[in-house]
Amino acid sequence: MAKSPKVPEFLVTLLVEDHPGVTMKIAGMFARRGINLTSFTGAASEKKGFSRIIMKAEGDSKVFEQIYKQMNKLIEVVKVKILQPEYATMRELALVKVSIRDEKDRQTVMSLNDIFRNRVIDITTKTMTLEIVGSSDKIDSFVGLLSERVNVRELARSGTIALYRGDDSIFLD
Amino acid sequence: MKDQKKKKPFLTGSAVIKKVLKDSKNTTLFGYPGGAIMPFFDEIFGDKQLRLILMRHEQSAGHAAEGYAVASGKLGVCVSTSGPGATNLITALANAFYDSAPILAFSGQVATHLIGNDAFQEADLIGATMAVTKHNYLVKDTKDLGRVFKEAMHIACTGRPGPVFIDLPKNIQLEECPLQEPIPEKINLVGYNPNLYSKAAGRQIQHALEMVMKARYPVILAGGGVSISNAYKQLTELVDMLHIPVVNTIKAKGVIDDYHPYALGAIGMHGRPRSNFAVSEADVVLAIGCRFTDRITGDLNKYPGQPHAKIIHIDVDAAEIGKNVPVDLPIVADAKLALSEMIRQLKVLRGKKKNVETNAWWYRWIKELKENAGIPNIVKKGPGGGIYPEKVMYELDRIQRPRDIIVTEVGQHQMYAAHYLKFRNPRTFITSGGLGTMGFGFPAAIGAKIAKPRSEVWLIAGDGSIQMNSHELATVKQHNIKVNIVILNNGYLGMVRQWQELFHESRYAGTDLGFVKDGEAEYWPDFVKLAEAYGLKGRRVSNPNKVMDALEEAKASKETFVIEIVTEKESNALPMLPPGGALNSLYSREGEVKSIYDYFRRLPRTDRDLQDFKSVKIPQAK
Repeated sequence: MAKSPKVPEFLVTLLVEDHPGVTMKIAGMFARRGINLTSFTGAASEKKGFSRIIMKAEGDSKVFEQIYKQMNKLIEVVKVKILQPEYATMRELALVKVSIRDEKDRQTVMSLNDIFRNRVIDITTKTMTLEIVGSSDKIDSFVGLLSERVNVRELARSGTIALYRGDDSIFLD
Repeated sequence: MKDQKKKKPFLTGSAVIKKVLKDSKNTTLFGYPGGAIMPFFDEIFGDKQLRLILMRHEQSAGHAAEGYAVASGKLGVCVSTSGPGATNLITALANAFYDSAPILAFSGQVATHLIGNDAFQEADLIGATMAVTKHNYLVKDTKDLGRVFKEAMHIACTGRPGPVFIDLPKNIQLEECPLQEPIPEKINLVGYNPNLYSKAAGRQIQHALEMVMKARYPVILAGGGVSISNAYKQLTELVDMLHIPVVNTIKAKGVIDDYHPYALGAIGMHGRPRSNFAVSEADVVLAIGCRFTDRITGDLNKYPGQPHAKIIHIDVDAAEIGKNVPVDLPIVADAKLALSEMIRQLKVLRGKKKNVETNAWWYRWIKELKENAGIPNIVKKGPGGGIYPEKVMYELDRIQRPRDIIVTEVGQHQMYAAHYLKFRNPRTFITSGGLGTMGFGFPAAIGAKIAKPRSEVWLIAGDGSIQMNSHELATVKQHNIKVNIVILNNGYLGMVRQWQELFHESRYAGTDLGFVKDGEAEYWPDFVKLAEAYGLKGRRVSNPNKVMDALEEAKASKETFVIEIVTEKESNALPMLPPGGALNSLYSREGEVKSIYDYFRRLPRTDRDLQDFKSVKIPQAK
């Protein structure tokens, strides 16, 4: 079920100074060079005043070399790294709201949920809201299976976040 | 008592800005006032140290700051009001960004509590300048002012220079800065640490030297970076040591004396064919501080020309390396530091008596290439009854002194100037290279003249370009700035017309500027009268033999003088590279697509061919 990406994707992780307009500068750099961002996540980091932004983009090695260098040139960007998927631990969170018409639907959702070890975080007579944590592929495959059987009303995905595997890390001394 | 003596009165935001500018000795401002920047203008009113040049358009202020920066090698400062004033600056910022000129631009902004309310003369300049500046700031607290200005100047001038823009809300200029020391002594930019030189670069340079010394046909491609990092002495020294021909981009004119036996001249679409030939024949191209734009590479798939040619690229901006052409040996370093290191290593090699002059035979071709480098002196009028632009260049070349600064607008006249004129000193040719901004030249010439008051400044303009900022005639009159303006008036937007002639079957869509020649001539505008309208003098020249006369009159004049030269209407800036063509093809003067080998002999590629040339002695460069 998991779709194989036709265009190679790469992960960029940034440590940036946290003030207004920084996100715009970073996103603008991608837009200006015609590069498609498939995932963009940014929030506080371990250091006060700095945010960590993790992005996924499509492109070959030439594209990501250029992006790496251009990111380095932005004054607010303190650190840039291109993460190779094999050296990174990656997670994504998704919330899915499904319509429940009858008991059969509920059973289908519950059994799928068990297989994927998801949690139910909200429930009404008409809907169920599920929380899925895992790799992007896992979410793709769960949502795919789900939508074949029940009506997926709403899907919210956090985008991929990642850290280096092992002792390596990207931080400010 | 002691405490009272220690305490100084707090400065207002405007006073802090004034102090920062004075402390950093950036005392020349090009600007235009308006509502949101009034507090600052009020602060500098009557100041003896700060010199404000009131331009007639904010775009001109930006270009003038760039002209000032390029001519002096220092920071150029420009200032405008909010909204339309600041948006007018954007073209100038973009131009400076492309040509890596250090500019500090600041504009007023509506008061902080109004930002985002679509207030009168409000515009989002942080968003708008993002893509055309090296960095930008919005100051929301007077405590930040000193730091922001210091950082901005540092960022603009270091690494690869560029424009930095500061948005200054009106209340920030008015409020007091509640700090005893509003300007920090040190600044700390965690995310900005330009890599000028590293040990790794040193090792790469060693490889580069090996490659260059093994090469049969090495060429140095000097770009604007050589000029920006003031590496001209090092470049000349290296060339004298290695005996390698040098070609330059339009932004690098003057980095090596054009009369140097190894200087071949400008490369690119309108460059010298011999320079393009040298690069297409080269087996190693040592590129220093250039961007490999489409205008200097031609067809990228066939660049540089020889199938196994290697490219060494020295640039202070890592993002430029490998962006357009694949590079075999990247060196991230400042041009001056890299060239100094090269020279140092070469001297060590010489000490060990290693032969570094392996390219003796290469000289024969260079000498051949250097011949016929003069400017044709066409005394006759063209079939359309106008003077040939070559004639104007011929006379300009005669009147030009080594310290004179030549500024151009954008178009055919720019290409004639870049192609024919020779420069002996760096920073004496100022032009809009990357962005190609019509209207750049006149204000830039004003800036250059202010930076170098003792140099004669010549502006070469077309009738199209000059009209984009001709209002600056008022500025030169008011501030008594002397610029010799030479307008090549052919009644067309010449460069576009040339392309329409060559590639669009002479359909002159939107390029005819309505100039009727001979008989009852109609001129829109009459440039002589235009000059007179501003209280200046001008002269129209329609006789080729009077060109020199007019140039001398302009030179002798005490104030700005406008020369309008009635130029042959449909003359083309040829030879040129056909668009999309490789570096070794060219559009000849006769208007045919030809191969460069119709003009220059192919170089021998086998050892046997080389035998004959090994006996050639290297003449010593001056």
